[in-house]
Amino acid sequence: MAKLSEIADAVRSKNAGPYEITFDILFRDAAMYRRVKQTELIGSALFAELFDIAESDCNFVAFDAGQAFKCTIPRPIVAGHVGDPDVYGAQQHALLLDVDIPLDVHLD
Amino acid sequence: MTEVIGMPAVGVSFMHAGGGNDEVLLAALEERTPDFIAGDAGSTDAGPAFLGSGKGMTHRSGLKKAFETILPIVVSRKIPLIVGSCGMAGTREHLDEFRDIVEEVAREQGLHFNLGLIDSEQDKSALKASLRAGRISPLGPVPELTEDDIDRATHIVGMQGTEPVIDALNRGADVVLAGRISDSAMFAAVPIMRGIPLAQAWHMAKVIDHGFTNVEPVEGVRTSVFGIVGDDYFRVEATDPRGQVNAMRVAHATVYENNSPFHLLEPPGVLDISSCNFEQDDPRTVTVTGSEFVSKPYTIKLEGAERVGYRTITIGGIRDPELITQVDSFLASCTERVVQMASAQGISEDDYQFFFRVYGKDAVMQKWEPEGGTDAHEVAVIGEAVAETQEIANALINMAHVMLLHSDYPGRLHTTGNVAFPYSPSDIECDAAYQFNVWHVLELDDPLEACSVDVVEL
Repeated sequence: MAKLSEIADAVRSKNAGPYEITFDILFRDAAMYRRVKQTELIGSALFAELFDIAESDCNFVAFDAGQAFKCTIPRPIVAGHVGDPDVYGAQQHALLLDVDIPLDVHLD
Repeated sequence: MTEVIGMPAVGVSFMHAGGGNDEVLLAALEERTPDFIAGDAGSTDAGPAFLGSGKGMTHRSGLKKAFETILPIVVSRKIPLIVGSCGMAGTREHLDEFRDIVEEVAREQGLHFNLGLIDSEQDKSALKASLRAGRISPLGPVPELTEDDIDRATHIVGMQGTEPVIDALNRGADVVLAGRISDSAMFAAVPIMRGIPLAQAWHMAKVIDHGFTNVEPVEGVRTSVFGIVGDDYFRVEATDPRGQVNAMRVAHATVYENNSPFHLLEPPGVLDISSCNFEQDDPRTVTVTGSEFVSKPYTIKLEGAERVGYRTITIGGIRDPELITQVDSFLASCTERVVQMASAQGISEDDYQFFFRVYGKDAVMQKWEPEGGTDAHEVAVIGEAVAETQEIANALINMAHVMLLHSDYPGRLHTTGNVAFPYSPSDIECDAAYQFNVWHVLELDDPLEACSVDVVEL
């Protein structure tokens, strides 16, 4: 097992316009990206569970050319509305860091 | 082939605060002459306040310094300069502010050139007519637009495409200032004007707009990139001779802050990069092929914001361990007493929103925060009121800071004050509070129909 924070090169969140937030998980190492993709763990179901939303609200894509996973979901509060905690949506990625990926090969 | 140079975020990341970055670009401009230079001066990232108020985000002196550096270069070398989304939101007020700065620099430096001005502030009655004609629809998870939304918005801007820039350049503009415009349009305009296909022009533009993110940092500083675009490819090259451009980073530039990595909606259609190949030519250069563009009916994005009231806040820290363990119930009782006191003063609960945020606990992620409670040895509390008038917001926060400071709680071992206020006064007026209330697409018959383009001689 390895946490995403240990194997990904970027785990980030950012507004995609004020009504949506998008999460990117990027890998520099092509082999690592493929291994993670093969587990089929990173997908709509994971985001739906983590962020407590319907799977149909998760716009998930595995972007092979960029060795990246990307998921866009509606923001719970529109950016900048009264009560919004994160105008840029830049600090909402933390839940992804601890996601365990069952990699069958030992990692150094 | 068209050669461009990207200058992201004029006056903020590049010319004003860029430090060594400026020197790299200026040195690069001594070596080669690009077909144009463009800079993106705006975004909705920083929230609705700039659109709502018409105030800028960047300090005037910083902006002026930026234009003092770049204007003499582009004017003497006859390189078109395109600066778009002026002042963050690109309202008419923002455009006027940028125009004023450019005119001042031109006067002071004795520069003479034609200045193109693209005003993208929208006329409300025209928008209502478009709404009635069924030409406005939500963009993403957004409610349908109403005439009431249009009336309530303090500013509505239309994010323009390349056509107004091309119109200004065709009419002799040397420098173009645009109100709200697509980030990529300011970089795609000259290539499209020169006959480069839409796919290559828009994809290159998207990548160059995020120039910094393509480049490995040199001595901790990221530099801009050259974009070189032809009929069936485009190339990204570091302006810094020591800079390295990485194919994967170029691919990632299309992922950044978009909801899809493959399909990017622009005014004339959708850029499709799903079949692209990102080739590392050498450590400084990446070539991209395979971009496609699917034309659609012409649309522009509308952005609007409305005032929701006036905000006042107070910030205090708690270090007492007993109070930290019961911070939720303590703040709930403070809130209750603020509401009661306000009611006694004739301030109805319908006229305001009042709440606390607790940093060190769940202020950043709120309902997404999985950690219950807090192990922190200190927490910060922000009390926030948004009310119909500044006076009511001030009154609420005044009550809140008294409650925070002096309310009793079980197990209190002190009577001096429950919170550490870092500021005097402890109540902070934040002026008007805004929210986005227009985020829609408008269909156009003519790409120039929702803007006005002027060219003036300086």
